[in-house]
Amino acid sequence: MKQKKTKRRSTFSEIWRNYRKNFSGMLGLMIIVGILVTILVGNFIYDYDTDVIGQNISERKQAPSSEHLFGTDEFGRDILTRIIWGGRYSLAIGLAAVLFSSIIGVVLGSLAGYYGGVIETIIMRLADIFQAIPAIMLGICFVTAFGQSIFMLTIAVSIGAIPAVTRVTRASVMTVKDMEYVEAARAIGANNFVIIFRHVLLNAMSPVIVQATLRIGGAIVGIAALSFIGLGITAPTPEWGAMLSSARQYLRGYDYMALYPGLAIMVTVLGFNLIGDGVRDSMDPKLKK
Amino acid sequence: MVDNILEVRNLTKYFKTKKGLLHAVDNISFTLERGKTLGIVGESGCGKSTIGRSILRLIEPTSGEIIFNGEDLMKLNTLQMRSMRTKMQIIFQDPYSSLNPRRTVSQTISEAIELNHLIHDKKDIEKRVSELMDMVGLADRFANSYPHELDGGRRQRIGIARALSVNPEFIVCDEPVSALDVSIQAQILNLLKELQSKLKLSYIFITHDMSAVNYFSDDITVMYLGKMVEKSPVEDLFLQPEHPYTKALLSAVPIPEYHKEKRKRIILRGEVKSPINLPDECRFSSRCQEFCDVCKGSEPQLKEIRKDHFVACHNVT
Amino acid sequence: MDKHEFALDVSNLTVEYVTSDGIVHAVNDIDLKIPPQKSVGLVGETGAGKTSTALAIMNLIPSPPGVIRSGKIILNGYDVLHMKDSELNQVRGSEVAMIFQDPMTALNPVLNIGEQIEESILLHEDVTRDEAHEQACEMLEMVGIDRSRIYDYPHQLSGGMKQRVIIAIALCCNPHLLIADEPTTALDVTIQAQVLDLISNLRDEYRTAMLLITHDLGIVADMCDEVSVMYAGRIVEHGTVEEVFTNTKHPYTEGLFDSLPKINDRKSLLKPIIGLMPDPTELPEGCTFAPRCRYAMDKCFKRRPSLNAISDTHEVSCLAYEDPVFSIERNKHGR
Repeated sequence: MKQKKTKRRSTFSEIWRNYRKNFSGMLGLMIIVGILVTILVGNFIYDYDTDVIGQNISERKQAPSSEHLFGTDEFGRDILTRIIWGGRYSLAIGLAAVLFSSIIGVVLGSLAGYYGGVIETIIMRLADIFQAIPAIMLGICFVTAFGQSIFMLTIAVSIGAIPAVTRVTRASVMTVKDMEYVEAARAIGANNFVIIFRHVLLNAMSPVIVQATLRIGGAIVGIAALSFIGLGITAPTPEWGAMLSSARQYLRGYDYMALYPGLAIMVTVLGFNLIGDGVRDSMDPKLKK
Repeated sequence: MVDNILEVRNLTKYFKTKKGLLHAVDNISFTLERGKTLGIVGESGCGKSTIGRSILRLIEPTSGEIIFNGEDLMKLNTLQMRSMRTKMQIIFQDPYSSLNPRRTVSQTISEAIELNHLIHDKKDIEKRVSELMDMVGLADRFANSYPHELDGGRRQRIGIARALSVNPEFIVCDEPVSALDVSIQAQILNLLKELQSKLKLSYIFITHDMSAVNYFSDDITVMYLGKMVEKSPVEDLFLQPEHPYTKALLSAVPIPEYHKEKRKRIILRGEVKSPINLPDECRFSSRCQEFCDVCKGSEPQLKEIRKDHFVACHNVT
Repeated sequence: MDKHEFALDVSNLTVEYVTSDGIVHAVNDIDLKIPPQKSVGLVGETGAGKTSTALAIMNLIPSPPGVIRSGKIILNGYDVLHMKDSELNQVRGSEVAMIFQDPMTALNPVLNIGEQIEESILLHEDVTRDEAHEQACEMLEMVGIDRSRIYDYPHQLSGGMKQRVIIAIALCCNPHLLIADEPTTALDVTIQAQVLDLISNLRDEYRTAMLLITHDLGIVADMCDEVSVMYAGRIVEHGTVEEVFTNTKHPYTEGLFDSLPKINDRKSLLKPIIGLMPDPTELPEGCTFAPRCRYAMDKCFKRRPSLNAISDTHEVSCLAYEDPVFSIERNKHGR
């Protein structure tokens, strides 16, 4: 009669079980994995100095052909190579920016949501003020003030998203902290630290994670935008936004030079957004039995 | 000499709201004898849950004394109160929201043991958890299940095991069966009774269900709008209710027995009024079937009309 | 004018929900008949299939995942399962109306209560807006709410008053059948008494038949003429209230009674039904109650019992009664 203990399944494996059934989510995941693999492989077959930034005047502005699949730019560099190489900046900065804004936002949001009162008022009014300024303006000001390093770029792109994360976290924490299991935890002698981390944050994270995945695409567009106006990654480093920007002057006659970096941005953002939708669906507790 | 585990004196809890002071609990006093059960009944909004949480200071009372094992809990600081909670526990109404959905059954049950450093050895904790699960009738195989995989009755058993894990002497049962199905309710009520005699527990049993409180308690307190309206040993209250509200409450309970004639019941007019900014009059007067002029004059105080039977009504003497 | 024998005649109704975890057998081949102006209680615990039955009668089973596999539902002469949507909308409200369990979410928060009652009247009756308004005021007074409150919004009303408004909406078109799905479960005891009193008065006045879905046997005793006890999607016992309450036949019905604390007897111990309701995706082969039944014999696990008549009005689905001397504890000791 003795039945074996059921195997312990983590929350993560449960979400993954749901996610696998999600067609568009899996499609997005395949796109992003494909892009990552391409970037990784590109790292081995291309040499930065010769293939990526090395100029070749004799082959400049060539239309796409079997030799140069996406054509070449005004300095005769292969656009496909540069897109593949440039992907690392877009992806790395995009992910780092989202990570950064999420951490800051979650900390502020949990403080505001859990403690309330004066702390909440201060944090949320600050968030209001920051949200009133367009994110791109904040980014521009930040880069102008602190310089154009990759680190500063990451922060510049993420800074505009912090108020939104704070808001989502605060709302979610406020719902969870009124649950009876939080009261139960207090009744068995848990202190605030245990309650916040073990009981509140863990359960409040779903909307934050969903929002973060959906924001990666936005962050990538943000970097591209900064690069496009010349405040992002600087030439000759191949960043998608910067490539778009330099292709702008040759739009008439050499439209492929702008087309392919633009497509790269679009496909990547689409991939991340599909993943985000998938994560949202699979984290929805209503899908769980 | 009566051994009282808990004595509550003039417990009061007001909440500040935008419209004014909300009188959740107004000047409540009672005692609980060791090993006995005190039932607190009343409808939603009467303050019964606030009393339960105030006793454990999960809600900070506005004023009053809570004397537990001879010690006034109101004088303890946060840290002392935290260790005091190993002696007093609470079981919640909703078995869905009272368990952390991201933690397994054994994690939930062992948490209090670890937090209070009751047992240090990992193996011993595991042994204790399976002992507790056995005590509340949960099969061992559920140790690694998550709450959402279990039904309401089993979830409520987890909540009971969690409360028992610190070896409490006293437990507040806040509507422990209202969210459960009839056949499961009986299972849980029987379990709580069995645990009471086995572990010599004292209970405060908060409920709106008159039949359950009758089955479960030794003494009853009837609450209306934050006030105690009647207090008596169970038999006496059900045999001879005195307060008009208690009478109406008892007659409103549907009885699962066949009766040819339609049962005569007292149907109360109107609804409970708002507990904010109450005037100095009987709080039940607007719905009372025995309403007269004195009721508007002042708030009635609890009077002992028979041995151990207290009523707060101007018309009962 | 009652040309039809029954206000509601359900036969062989089977409802399933197709989910990724398997097929949920919510309602399995049930029959249910409600004579005109009679009240029938449908009793059972969570997951017994009570609400699915009610939704099927209104042809409101959400699909997907719900499927009505088989059955026939005749509602005062209308074959509900074979009607066009437009005809169905006419039938819902005018022939059959439903009161839901949760009064908090059953009203639209952005419309005042007057508008919500009028809407229902305008949909089913050929009247002008002013006439509808007047009727709505009358309905409101009928359910014991002052007509001055007709412009109130749902959030200004208490739970009991919301349920009264819902009753007003349900009855405003004078339906032949009222389906009340746990109408007072969300309410306090004294308010429950008010609302039940109101429902039974209005039912007498409007001469409406009623299907009262509840888990509370006490409410059935007060409100109903007949009662069907449902377990795991099947009706296990049906009879008049007197028969089922005083001459209980099915072990499950007995278990329900024994699980309830008695208000005037606090000494006798509760006898809960052991175990849990079976998973509706994999119902046991024999009697669905057998695993929890204290009288179960070998054959109970192998063969599925059908409803057998005990009297003209009393039926029970239990194999033990093939043995003529069998009787359950409850009836041996009397009450």
